[in-house]
Amino acid sequence: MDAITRAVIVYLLLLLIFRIAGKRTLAQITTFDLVLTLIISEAVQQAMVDADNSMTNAFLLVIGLVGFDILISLVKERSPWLDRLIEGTPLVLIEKGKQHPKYMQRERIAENDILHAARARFGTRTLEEIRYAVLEQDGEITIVLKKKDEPDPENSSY
Amino acid sequence: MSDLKRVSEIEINQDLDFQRVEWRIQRIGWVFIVIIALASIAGAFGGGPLAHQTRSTSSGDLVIEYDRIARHAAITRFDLHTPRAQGEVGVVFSTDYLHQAELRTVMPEPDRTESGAGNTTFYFNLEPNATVSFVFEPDDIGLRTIQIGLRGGSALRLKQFVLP
Repeated sequence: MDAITRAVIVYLLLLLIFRIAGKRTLAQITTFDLVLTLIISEAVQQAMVDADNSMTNAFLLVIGLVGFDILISLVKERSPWLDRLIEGTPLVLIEKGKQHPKYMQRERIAENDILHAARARFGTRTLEEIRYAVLEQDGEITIVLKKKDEPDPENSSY
Repeated sequence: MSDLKRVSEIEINQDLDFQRVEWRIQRIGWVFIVIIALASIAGAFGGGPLAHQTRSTSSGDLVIEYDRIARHAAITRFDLHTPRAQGEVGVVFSTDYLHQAELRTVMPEPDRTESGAGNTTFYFNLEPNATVSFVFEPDDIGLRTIQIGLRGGSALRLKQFVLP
């Protein structure tokens, strides 16, 4: 099999597997996510290189991978439907300070993960300070905090 | 992208209908991952009990153990048992398979080889109940037919599927 075909097959197979696995699979939350990424690249590398250690092969593989990625991005730009299919959509997990537990459970996200993202970015202490939390297409959680002077109905005496 | 919507105060291309379909497909995908893993353990992709096969000629003078499912560029063995062989024995291989796979080792080493029309014969000096092993590395992908026999005896037609 030639290098370009191998690169495209590997690209498509990995895309399929990681879409099935979900957004958070390699979001690098734990140390092991990085280790997993490295092991996966090691496992795939052998099949892609296929006993041909020439520079030509390496160059063609990179051309195949990057070229196919460009092609996919062009197609995605034309078709929002394909864009959604390949990249997925973002998902609002906390809306106006209220959690959507069902969505969080479906995406295997705990309150702890949201707090982690908020702490890392804003030094947030509690969940009550968060107005919005969004699971983005890349698996990251982005946070919008409540405004300081915003009235909080549950803790109005605070 | 023009499919931005408002979810309370934020502008975002969230699409709950699509999201629900995605979750359903993901769950089905997980089941498929488990099925593939179990099939792999069983040998559906080579290297397990499903892949391994033993065939014998009707006279019983040649028994071959081999992999009906092999993988490209990974080794696959043919173990030939010859219960009644004595002295010089010729093992005849169809030449097309020798072109589709690289012969890595033959155990024991043949005394000589002979190339004929469409087949190659390996000659060994064997005692009864001897085993001769051929180790190959398939170069090609797809279904292969291999004909192996004893010179002056019957032959076996084996099928092997080579996965990429």
